[in-house]
Amino acid sequence: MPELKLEGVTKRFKQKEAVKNVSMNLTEGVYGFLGENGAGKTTLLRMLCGVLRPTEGMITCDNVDIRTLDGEYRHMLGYLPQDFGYYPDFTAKRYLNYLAACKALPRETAASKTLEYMELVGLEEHQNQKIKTFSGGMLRRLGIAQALLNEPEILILDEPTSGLDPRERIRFRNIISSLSKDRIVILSTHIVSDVEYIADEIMLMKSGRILCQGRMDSITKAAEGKVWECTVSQQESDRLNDEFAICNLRNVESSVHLRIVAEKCPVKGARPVEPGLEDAYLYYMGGERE
Amino acid sequence: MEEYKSLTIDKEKKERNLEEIRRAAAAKKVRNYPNFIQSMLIQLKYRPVFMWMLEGVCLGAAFAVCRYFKSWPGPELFTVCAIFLVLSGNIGFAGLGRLFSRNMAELEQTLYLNLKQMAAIQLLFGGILDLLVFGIFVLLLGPARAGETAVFALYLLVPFVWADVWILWAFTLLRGITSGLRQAGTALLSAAVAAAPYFIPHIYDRSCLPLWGLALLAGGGALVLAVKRIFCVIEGGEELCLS
Amino acid sequence: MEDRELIRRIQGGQTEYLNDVAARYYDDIYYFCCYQTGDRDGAYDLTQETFLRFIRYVDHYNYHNLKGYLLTIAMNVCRASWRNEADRESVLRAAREEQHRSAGSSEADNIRAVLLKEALAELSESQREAVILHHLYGYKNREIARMTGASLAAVKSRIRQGLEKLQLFLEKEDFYGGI
Repeated sequence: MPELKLEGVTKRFKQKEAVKNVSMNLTEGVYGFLGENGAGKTTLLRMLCGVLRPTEGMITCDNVDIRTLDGEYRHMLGYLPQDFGYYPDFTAKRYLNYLAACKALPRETAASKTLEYMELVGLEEHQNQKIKTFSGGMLRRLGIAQALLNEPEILILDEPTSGLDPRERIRFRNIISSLSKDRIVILSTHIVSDVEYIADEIMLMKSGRILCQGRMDSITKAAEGKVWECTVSQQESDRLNDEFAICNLRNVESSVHLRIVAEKCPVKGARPVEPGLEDAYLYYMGGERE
Repeated sequence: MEEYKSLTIDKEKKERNLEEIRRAAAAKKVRNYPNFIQSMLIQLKYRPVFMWMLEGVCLGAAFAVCRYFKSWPGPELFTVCAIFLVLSGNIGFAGLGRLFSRNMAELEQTLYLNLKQMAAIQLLFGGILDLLVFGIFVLLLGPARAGETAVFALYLLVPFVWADVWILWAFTLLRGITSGLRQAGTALLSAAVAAAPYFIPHIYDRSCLPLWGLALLAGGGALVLAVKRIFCVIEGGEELCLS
Repeated sequence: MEDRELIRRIQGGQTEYLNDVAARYYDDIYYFCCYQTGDRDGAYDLTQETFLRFIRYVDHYNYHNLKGYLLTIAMNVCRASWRNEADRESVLRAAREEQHRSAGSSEADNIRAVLLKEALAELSESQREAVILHHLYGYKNREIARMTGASLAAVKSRIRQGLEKLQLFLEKEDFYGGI
């Protein structure tokens, strides 16, 4: 069971600093990076994969720099990029075989592994179809299959559920959960429900920084007493919308039912409620407003 | 010697050891470490059929060019051959381009057979095709024309080398444009580079040979730099990713 | 199944064949560790460690002579098991004492084997390695030189000196005659 360590990892591009001084230790389990687009999640994941080099800081696996480990590290790695690439004229089977060969799987097991993982993601009946005919959901599933081919100890998934419909998303979550034993699974997303149910540890990212990190209950705890529910008139709702972060807005007959994240009680009659992960997310992200 | 093997071994202890070994064996994940030749074979195996066909057509066309243009006057012949060689260079590089197509590069960078190796192999494949076409021209047309085979070779090499420099740069410069358009544009421009000498008066005169020599040297240097740059880009990673 | 085929299958991903390797060579490795360290009880752990190391590095193994390779690993494992000279001496002494204490044990051990083990303890570590590999396992000097990382001349002199010492120790009774 390898241990990944990030120490002061920073990535600077010409125009901006995409990742600022991230330090953390990763061991067995599912880690969810939650944040908006541009928060630096993808950059961080790319550095973990060795695709990008950190401008400052170091990423080590069992105390050895991953750049030194080179091929050894890539043997342990499975990656699903956000913009997942493929050769459109290849069939699914040929594509997976190709990647299996590139991942240096022993020849004898390559064919069986390819089939095994196609079955796992439910693509075995499409194996002889050309990839260009695949739907978005099928592509994602193909992507997951390829990431798993070499049974990596470190699985990195960048926005894996983007473009999937709710049923596929749930199916995907279940696959990931089942795979998290004896592995480090790192996934990034901007969809709260993706990590809510499967992540052991959640990291909220914003502008390249990790705002907070921990199990779900410790993160939601921070938003305790900051989440309110109230029922107000339409005008009141508009006013509150301008002033506060609204978690949820629902029209009920002639009034509006609001769920608000605010430091203090936003309006008379609002009552505090138990915060959920989405509320905590808004609470942390809303820090910029002030 | 055999009787010294007669020290009794405790069966229980041995079984315990074997059990521990069994556990390690079950947990063991065998990893393969293919060498360069094996990597090359993999790349070769997964080459799409149409690439092979294209190369076959290219070679066949080279022979055809030799046959039909044999009797053309010097400068026209040189230009036609140079353009043809450059176009086959484009085809040769298509393999490299494919590695970078449709975001494959980002994924390929994380595979064991890393992108640098695969790129090197694809450059090699491309180079072989170019070498073959070049060889066909020089051997079949050289002696007849220009009197000297070496001079003919020079007239072909210089545009070829400079066109290659352009092609390699185009990989990373024209990132935003769709690959089909990019390839077409690259091919056209490189053909233009190859055709350029035709429009310079007296360029094929004997007296200009030193110029050609210099152009070759400079082009060679530029090509080396361009190849190095590609590898740097792969190493750096930034330009592999679209966003 | 031949060793070569076993290794081929293992490196092809079928790790269950690692157990076949262990089953095939366990005894050989045990005896080596036992004679090399003089410690019958400790030798079990050393044998296990040998095979665990073999498993760890099997990816990179180029099949040549599997038994020799395993013995080389065993040799290094034994070398590493001595943290220092004083350590080795104390373990050897304890082993010898334990041996004398259990002289009337019910194990049907070959007396020659036991005596040889004691005699070998009189040799230096490198002499012991060379003598065991040469006379117990039948390896040629050249192979021993490769496995131990020593020069051919060093191996020859170690074997010679080692045998002389053994002769001295065992000459009371002609146990050593058969070699």
